[in-house]
Amino acid sequence: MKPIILLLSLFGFVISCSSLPQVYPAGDAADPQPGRACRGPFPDGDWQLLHSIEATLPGGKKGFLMGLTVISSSNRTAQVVIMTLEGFVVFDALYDKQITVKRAIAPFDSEGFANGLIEDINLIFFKPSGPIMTAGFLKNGTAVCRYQKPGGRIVDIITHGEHSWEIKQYLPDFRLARIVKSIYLADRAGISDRIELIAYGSPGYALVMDLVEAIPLTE
Amino acid sequence: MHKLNRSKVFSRAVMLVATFLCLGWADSWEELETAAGTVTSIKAGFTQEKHMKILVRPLVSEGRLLFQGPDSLRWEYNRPVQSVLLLHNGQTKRFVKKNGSFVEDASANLQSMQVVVQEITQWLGGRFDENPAFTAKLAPGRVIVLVPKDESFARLIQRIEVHLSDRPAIIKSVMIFESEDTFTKLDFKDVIINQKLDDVLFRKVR
Repeated sequence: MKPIILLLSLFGFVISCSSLPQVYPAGDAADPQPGRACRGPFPDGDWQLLHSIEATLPGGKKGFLMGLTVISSSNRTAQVVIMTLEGFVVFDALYDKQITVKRAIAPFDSEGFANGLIEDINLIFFKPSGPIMTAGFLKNGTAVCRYQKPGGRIVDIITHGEHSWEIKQYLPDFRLARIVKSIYLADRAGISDRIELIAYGSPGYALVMDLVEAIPLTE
Repeated sequence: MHKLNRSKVFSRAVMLVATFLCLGWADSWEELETAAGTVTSIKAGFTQEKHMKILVRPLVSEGRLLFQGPDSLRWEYNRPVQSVLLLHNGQTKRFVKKNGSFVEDASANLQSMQVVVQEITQWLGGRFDENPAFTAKLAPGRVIVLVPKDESFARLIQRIEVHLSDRPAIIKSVMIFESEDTFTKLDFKDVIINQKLDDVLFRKVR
């Protein structure tokens, strides 16, 4: 009896797990697209970025905020400030290997919010910190570069030509956790004009971040 | 972390700014009260600078403010992001322009602003030193300094400075200090008082 229960459990486990999209190797080894995907749509250097943020919350309600982010790609640090549209600071935190929250006003005052926000900032602005697992093409022909982050999460960086990128983050059991779309209207040294993020899970949410201002902090 | 929510804090700041726009010139509370008592409406443009230690240069916004006593307010930003906050008949709404049309912000807890609106009548009468939320001091150079009485509120807004114009019933600027290195400066211009304002301005975004 026990082996049957074990098999059913194993079967249940297997069907409950998702699988990663297949990556096909480049037919031409000199094809630059997979390598380009590995570089990703990430800002290079130090930047001060201001975004208007449209957040879609469970139930479809929309909320609007301003997001100020000062990032350093080399140090992998970020200061994140969230403001009302009128400029009142509701959240202010520094990320330098760990989070230091300097100011947080309800409903932005939970530890879960701070951790989730920094995870999103990491995914959007910094190249994945883990090694490249593979690079090539997806079934639909788009170039992809697959990273494995510490902790077992997988990140696929997909390029759709010059003006559109996708970042997909999978949990260690391969369930899709985040999708980030970066849209470029002009060449801005890795600073996209619009970022769309969908977070799956409970509670899920979606963000649309439109660039208002990008100031380089390094020459 | 803090008991006060962001809308409540902002609403108090907004209403203070709106109120003091019509307070104007004075060197004593009595003169302020007299000047304020003559104001029924305000129309003004403003430039807002957000100063923070991490910013290489301040964030600049521009917009206009319309106020019609006793309790109608339109607080409108033209740039960098177009948005409109409306207070009318005790109802508060905020709209944001997205993809060419205005979308209502449904997330903000704007109900709390209605509480503050009720205070405006008192302030319009120039009795802002009776406002229970702040301790008011009239400083030299026609500056009114407001310090929150409530400790949890004080952690969010340290103080507000209202700089009065030398023109009666006109205000020059307002500075809202969230901390010593984070503050918002509002400079008002083209202030017109007691002009008839169409009711629809406070009811509809367009």
